[in-house]
Amino acid sequence: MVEKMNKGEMDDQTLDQILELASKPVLSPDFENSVMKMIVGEKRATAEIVAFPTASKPSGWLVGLPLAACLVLGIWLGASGDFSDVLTTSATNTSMASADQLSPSGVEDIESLGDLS
Amino acid sequence: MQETGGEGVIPRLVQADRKAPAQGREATDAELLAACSEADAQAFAALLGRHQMMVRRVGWRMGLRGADVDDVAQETFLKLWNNPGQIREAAALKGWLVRVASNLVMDRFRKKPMDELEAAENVSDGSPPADDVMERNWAAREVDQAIMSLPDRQRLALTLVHFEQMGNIAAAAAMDLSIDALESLLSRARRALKEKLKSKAPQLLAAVSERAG
Repeated sequence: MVEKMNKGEMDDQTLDQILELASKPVLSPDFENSVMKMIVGEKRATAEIVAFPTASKPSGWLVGLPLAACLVLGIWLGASGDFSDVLTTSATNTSMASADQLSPSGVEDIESLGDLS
Repeated sequence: MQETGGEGVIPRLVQADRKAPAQGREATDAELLAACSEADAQAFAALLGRHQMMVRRVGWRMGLRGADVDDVAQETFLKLWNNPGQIREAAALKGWLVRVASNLVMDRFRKKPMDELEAAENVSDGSPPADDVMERNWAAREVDQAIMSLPDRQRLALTLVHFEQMGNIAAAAAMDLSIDALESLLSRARRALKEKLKSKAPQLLAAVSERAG
C-alpha cells in the first residue's frame, strides 16, 4: 500500500481508511430538551393563520333558475325565427328610416384637405 | 398541543405507542408525521429523537461548530414542527431534513465567513496533549482540512454517502440531484481528496495502523 503511495497512487480502500481518521462530531447532549422546550412554549406558526369567513353559497336550484329562464327564452326566440315579434313596428321603422338618412361623413373633409395642398 | 410527560421536558411517546400497541413495534415515521400534523408534541419528540443526531452530524461535517450546529438543527426541526404537511411521503423525511439543514448551513456560510466559524472550535482547553493524542489530532486535522477544502456540494455528497452511510439513491434524493450527478460529485470529491492527502499518505496510514493496533 505504501509502495503505491510512493508511486503517487491512492486506491479507494486506502482513502476510506484515511477518512476514518476524520474527527468525530462533538455534539452537545441537551439538544432534544432545548428543542422540546422551544416547541412546547411556541404556538405553531400555522395556528396564527386567520381563515377568511366563507361566503354563504346559494343553493343549487337558485343558481339554476336564471339559467333555466335564459334557456326557455332562447328556445322561444329560436322557434319564432326572427325578432320582429319582440320589437314594435314603429321601432323597426324608426331604426330603418334613420339608417337611410345616414350619409358617410368625413369624405367632404378629405376633399377640403386636398384643396389646402 | 399534548401535555408533556413528567420526565423532564421530553414527553413519553404515549400517542405513538398507542398507534402500534399490538405488535410492540415502534411507530413508523409516517405515523409520527401524521400525529405531528395534529400538533402532537409526543410524536414530534419521537421524530426528534430518531433523526436529530443525523441532522447535527451533517451540520458538523459541513463545517459548523459549537452552538451553530445546534442552531441549524433546531431551525430544521422547527420547520418540521411548524409544517409537517410539506413532507408528502414519510420515506422522504430523512432527505427533507438533510436538504433543509444543508441549505441552512450554506446560508450561514454566506452570512458568516468560514474563518469566523472555525475560530470558535480552535479554543484550547489549556491542558498539554500527550504525544499519541497529538499524533491523532494531527491526522484528524489533516483529514478534516482536506474535507473542508472541498466545494460545498462535494462535501455534502461525501458526508451523506461516506459518513452517514446513505445509499446513492437516498443521497441523490436528499440533494435533489440525479444519481449520475451525485456519483459525479462523489467521484470528484474522492479524486480531490486523494490528490490533497497523497503527500501525507504514509504518515496518515501509520496513524491508521496505530489506531487499529
